[in-house]
Amino acid sequence: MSTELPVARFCTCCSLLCETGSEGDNFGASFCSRRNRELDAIRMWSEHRETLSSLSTWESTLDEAKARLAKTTDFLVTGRMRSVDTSRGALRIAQRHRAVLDPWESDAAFEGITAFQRVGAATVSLAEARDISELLIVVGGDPLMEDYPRLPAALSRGASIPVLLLGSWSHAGCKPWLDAGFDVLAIDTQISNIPRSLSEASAYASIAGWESKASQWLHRSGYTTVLWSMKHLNIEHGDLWYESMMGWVARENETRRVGALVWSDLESTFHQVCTWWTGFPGRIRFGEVRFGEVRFGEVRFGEGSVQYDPSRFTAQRWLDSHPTEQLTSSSSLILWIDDSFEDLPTALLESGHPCIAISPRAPRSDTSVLWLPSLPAGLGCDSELFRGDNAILVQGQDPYLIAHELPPTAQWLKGLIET
Amino acid sequence: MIVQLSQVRCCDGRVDSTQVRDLFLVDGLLADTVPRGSKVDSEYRLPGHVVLPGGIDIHTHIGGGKVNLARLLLPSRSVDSAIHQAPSKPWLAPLSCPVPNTWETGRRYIQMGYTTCFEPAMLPAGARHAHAEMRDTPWLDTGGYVLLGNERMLLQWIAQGAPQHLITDYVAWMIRSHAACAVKVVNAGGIDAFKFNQRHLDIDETHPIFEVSPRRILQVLSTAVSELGLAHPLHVHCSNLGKAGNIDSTLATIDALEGRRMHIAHAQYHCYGNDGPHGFSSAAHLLADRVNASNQMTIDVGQVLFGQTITLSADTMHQFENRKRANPRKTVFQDIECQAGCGALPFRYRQSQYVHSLQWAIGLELFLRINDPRKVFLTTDHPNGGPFTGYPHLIRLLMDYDFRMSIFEQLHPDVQKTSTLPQLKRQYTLDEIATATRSGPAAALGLSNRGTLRPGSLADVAVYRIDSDPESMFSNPAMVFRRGKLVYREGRFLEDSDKTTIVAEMRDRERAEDWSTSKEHQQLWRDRYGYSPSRTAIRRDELLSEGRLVEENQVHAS
Repeated sequence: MSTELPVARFCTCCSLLCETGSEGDNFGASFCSRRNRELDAIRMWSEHRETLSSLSTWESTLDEAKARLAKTTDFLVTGRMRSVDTSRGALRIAQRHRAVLDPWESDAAFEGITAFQRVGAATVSLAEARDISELLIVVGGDPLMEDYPRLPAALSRGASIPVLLLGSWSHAGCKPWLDAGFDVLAIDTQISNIPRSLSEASAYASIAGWESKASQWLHRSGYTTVLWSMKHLNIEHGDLWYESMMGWVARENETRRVGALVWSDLESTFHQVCTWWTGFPGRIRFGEVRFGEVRFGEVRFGEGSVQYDPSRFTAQRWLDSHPTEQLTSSSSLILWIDDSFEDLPTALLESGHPCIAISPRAPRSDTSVLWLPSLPAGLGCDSELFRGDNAILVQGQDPYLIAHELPPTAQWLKGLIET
Repeated sequence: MIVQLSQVRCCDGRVDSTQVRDLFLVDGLLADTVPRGSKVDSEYRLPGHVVLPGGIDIHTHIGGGKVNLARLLLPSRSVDSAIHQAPSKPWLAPLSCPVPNTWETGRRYIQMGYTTCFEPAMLPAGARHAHAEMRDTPWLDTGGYVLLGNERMLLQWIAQGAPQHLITDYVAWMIRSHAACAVKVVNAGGIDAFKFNQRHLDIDETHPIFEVSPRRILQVLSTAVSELGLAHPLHVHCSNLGKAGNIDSTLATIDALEGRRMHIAHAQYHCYGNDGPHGFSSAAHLLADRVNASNQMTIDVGQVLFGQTITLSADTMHQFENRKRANPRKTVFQDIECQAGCGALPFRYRQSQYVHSLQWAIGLELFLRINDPRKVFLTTDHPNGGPFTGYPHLIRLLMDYDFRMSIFEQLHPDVQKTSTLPQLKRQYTLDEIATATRSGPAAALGLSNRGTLRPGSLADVAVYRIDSDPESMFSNPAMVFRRGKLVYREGRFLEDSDKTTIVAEMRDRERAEDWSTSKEHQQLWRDRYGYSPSRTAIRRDELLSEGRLVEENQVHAS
C-alpha cells in the first residue's frame, strides 16, 4: 500500500461516469455534447468568481445559516445529493434537526424502490451486460438518449449484438445505438403493454408483429439484458410496471438467463448511503425516541429514531402542508443541498419558503434564500459517486479544477453541524 | 492514559483464567504493570468479573452491495415487543432488521464485547462501497476478503494455462488495490457458469465456456495465497452449498488443496449427507474428523438459529435454486461486473421443519466434535444462519448441555430420532469460548495484537459480570474498552475511538505494482470491463481519510 495507484478521471455529468482519458489527453475531445454544454456553463460561472468572492466572508455566511437553523423547528432537507459525503452530511444535519429528508423529485426513483421492496429483482450490472449479453432490450425513447448519450457506447463490446428499442424512438434516438455497432430494431409501442408483449414473445404466443422478431431473438440469446430507467418511462403506476417486468424476468430465468439493468440518476448515491445509515432509502423523518412508544415503521437511530414512509415524508407533501400564507407565523425552513450544476427549481423558489441553499448556482432572485455557494460534486473536489446501476462506487474527479476557493457541498454541511 | 482493572479474572484461552489479578491499559495497549514513574488515571475494582479480549468475528456480512440490497429489501421493522416487555433492557431487543443499519450493527456488536469484524465477500468492483459502509459502522475495526474465483478474466487465463506467477501477481494486485486482508472464493467457477445458464457445477465439472474446473481454480488461488504469504489461508465457500449429500464435494475440495492451508467458511452448510428419513442427514462427523486430523484447516460454523433472517450470498447459482423457499416471497439476484453475483432471500428457520432442525443440530455437532477450539470459530455467517445478535444464545448452547437438550427436545421428531447430538455431552469452558471467539480467529487471520491479553496487545477488552447464565453474561458486558478508552458501560455508549481498516501484508508486495503497470494487463481489463483497472482501485489516502487508520496483518511464516 506504500505506492500510490494511478487515478482514473471520470466525467461526473451523468451516472454513467465515463472515463475521460488520462492526464495529457485531449479531455474535451472525449466528452459528450451534454458534458460540453455543462462545461461551457461552468466556464461562464467561473468567470463570475469575483462576484462570488465579493459575498461576505464564508464564516459570516455560515454563522447566519447556523442562526437560521437554530430558530427552526420544522425542517425539510432536500436537493440533489449525489456524492457519498454530501449524503452523509445531509443525514447528519437532518438527524440533528429532526428533519424530513427527501431528495428533490424522487417520485420515479421511489416507484422503483417500493416495487423492489414488494417483489425484489433480478438485475445485471453494466460491465456484465456489456460482456455477456447476446440481446439487449431497451425500453424508453429519445429522452433516455438525451440524458445518457454514451450509454450505447458503454454497452458495446464491438460485436454486432441485436438491440430491440421499445417505446418511442426517433432516428436521432436510434443513431447512438447504430453508431455503437448494434443491430437495431426500433418498435414504436406503448410502454405499458411491454411486459405482456414480452411474455407472449417468450411463450411463442404471438403470431405476428414485433413480438415475433423479439421471440426469435429471445430464444436464440444466451443472455438477455432488458434496460430501462424509471425516470424515463413516463407512465402512470411505474411501480406496477416494474413489478410486471420483474415478473417476466423471473419467469425467463427459470429456463434461460435474463437480467434487468435498471438505470438510475446520480441521486441513487443518496439512496444507497441513506439505506446503510438508516435502513431506509430516503423519505424519512428523524425524531426522538421514547422507549415503549416505538411504532411499526420506526427504528431507533443514534440518539433518536427515524420513520420511513414513502408516501408521507416527501418534499412535495411537506411543501403542500406548509402553505405560504402561514409562513410568517411559522418557524419552518428548507435546506436545499445541491451537488449538481443545475438551477434551483422554480417550484421551490416560488413557494416562498425560507431556504438555505448550498448550491453551485445562485438563486435567480429571491431574498428568502440564503445562498452558500459550493463546488459541484466531482468538479474541483473529489467525490464518491455510484454508477447508475449501483454496482460500483468510484471517485469522481475532474481535470478542470475550477474555483478551488469555494467549499464543496459536504464541507458546508460539516460547518453547519459543528457547534 | 492508564486504566487499571483490579481483581479481575483474565481469560483469553491462553492464560489461567481461574486466577484473579490486575490488568493495565496503558496508552491503548495492555500491560501487566504500570510503567515506572506513571500513575493510574482510572481504576475499576472488578471482583466477580472476567475480562476477555474484544471479540473477533471472522465471517459476518456487514458491508457492501448485497448487504445494502438486503436492507432495502427488508426495510427496518418495529422493535416493539421486547422493548415493551423489558424497557429497562433495550439491548435485549431484537434487531430492527436481520441486516441492520451501520449504526445499529456497530452498537449491537460492541454491546456483546466484539471489537473487530470481517466482511467475508467483498467483490472487487464493490470494495469501495464495502469500505464506505464499514467506515460508517461505529466502534468496530474492520477488514474485508476480496472475492475471487469467478472473474471471467481469471477463468480465461487458467483455461489458457497461464503461468502461476502471472496469476499470483494478479491476486496480489486484487488484494492490494481493493484494500483486502484475505482472499475468498465462493463456489469456484459456479457463479460465472450460472450466468451461462449452467445450474450445477461440481468440483470436477467443467465451466460451460472455459475449460476449467473448480478444483483447478482452487489449486491456482491457494497457490497464489501461499506464494504471497498471506496470513489467512484461502477462505473457501465450497461448491454445492446447502445440498443434500454435499459432504462428498466438500471433502473433494479439501483434497483438491493437497494439504495446503485452508479455511472452510460456514461449514455447517457444507456437511450434509443424503441418508435418513428425508434424504438429508448429518455428515458433520466426517468433516470434523478431517479438521481434527489436520493442522492446516480451520472452519467457521455458520450456526443456524431459529427465527427470521435473510440469506445473502455471492453464490447466485445456489441462491437461485432456493428461490421458492424465500419467506416472505421476494428475492434479489444480481450478475455483477464479470466478477461474481449476489442472491438475497428472506428466510425463516423453524424448529418444526426437518431440514432447519437438522441444520441447527449439525452446526452444534461441528462445534462439539472438533476437539481444538483454535480450529472452529463461532459464527452464524450473519445474517445467513441468523443475526449475529444470537451469539450469546449460541454460547449458552455450547456451554450448557441441559439447555441444549431443552431446545433439542422441541425439534422435528425425526431429527430427535436420528441426530447424535444428545450423545455429545461436551460443554465448552469459558476458555474455549474465548478461543473460538477471540484468540482462534486472531491467529487464523494473523492478527498478533488482537484476541489476546498478552502485554503489548491492543487494549480492546470486554469486562463481563460472571453469571451462571452465559447468555445473560455475554449479552451485556459491564464495560468495553477500545484502545484503552471506555466506549460502553452498563448499556450506555461513550466516546468512540479511531477506526482501523485491516489489510493484508504480503511478501513481494511489488508484485501488485507489476501487474497493474503492464499495458497488456490494462488493455485486457479495459476489454473485459470497459474501463481501466484503476477505476475500482482504492488509494491508501482514501482509507486514511477522517481519522481512519490502516493496519497490516502479518505475513504467514511458512
